[in-house]
Amino acid sequence: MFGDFRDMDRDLEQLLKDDEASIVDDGFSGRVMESARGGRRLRYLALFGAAGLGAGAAFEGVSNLVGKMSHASGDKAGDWMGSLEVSVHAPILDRDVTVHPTILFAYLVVLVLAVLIPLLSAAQED
Amino acid sequence: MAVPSNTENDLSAAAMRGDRRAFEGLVKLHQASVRAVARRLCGSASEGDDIAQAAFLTAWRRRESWRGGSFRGWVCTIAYREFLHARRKRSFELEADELADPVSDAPDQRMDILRAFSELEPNERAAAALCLGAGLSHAEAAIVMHAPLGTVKSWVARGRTKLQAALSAYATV
Repeated sequence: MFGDFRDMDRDLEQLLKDDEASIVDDGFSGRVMESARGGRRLRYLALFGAAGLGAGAAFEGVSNLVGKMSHASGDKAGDWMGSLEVSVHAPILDRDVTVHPTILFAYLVVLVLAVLIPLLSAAQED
Repeated sequence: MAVPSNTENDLSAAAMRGDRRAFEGLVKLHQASVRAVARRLCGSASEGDDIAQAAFLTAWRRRESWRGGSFRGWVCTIAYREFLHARRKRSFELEADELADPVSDAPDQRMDILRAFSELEPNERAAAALCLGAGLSHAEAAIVMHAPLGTVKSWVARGRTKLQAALSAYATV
């Protein structure tokens, strides 16, 4: 039996420590690290998949947009970007909508960042 | 919580910055402690190892949330939360036949310790596992368990007494 109270506490703590010490690393650490790598792969697969789908949808959207342009105009040859306007026929509204090219440009920048940020963060983590 | 050594501090700091090798070093250093705590919480070696693995993975994925201190205590705290989460999904209570026919080749002493923990009340078991196994202070365990300090102290005391009684055969004379 356990002895006095202090001995009892010491015995129990020693017993638990001995039990802990008897747990050998039977590949546990390897499995944890493998899961950590696998988890990251899945995460990036999901990110790249989402970015790819987004880029595909955007490309199709831009293709449709170009196909539906009713006219494009520019005031000056040297300042074409600032004054260029694109009219797009919006079937839902059943009328032409004017879109500034800057909006399209910003749209493309967001898409590029959506692909680049996961790539850069993956490279940094490695 | 036990004061971490300089080596552990360096490893922890590097791991929390995303150094995979440092994190692997920490896993190797603390796998036994975390697995022991998780096994005692679950009352089963295999379930406990699953919880411990999930805890290390969560620690790696949420390393930005680490606020310093003992890495072991932090992961044991995560293991306790993983255990609660898993218990909500399904019961981790030991089945009678699992006790009678242990699936692992664990020595009798280990099985007896798991059995002794599994016979405690759930709160006593968690408090004893966290304070006696993971080395959390009563105050830290009270925060983790969302319970008053005095209540946690009494859970630990009752758990300790019951464990001592159940494991008296292993006491030194």
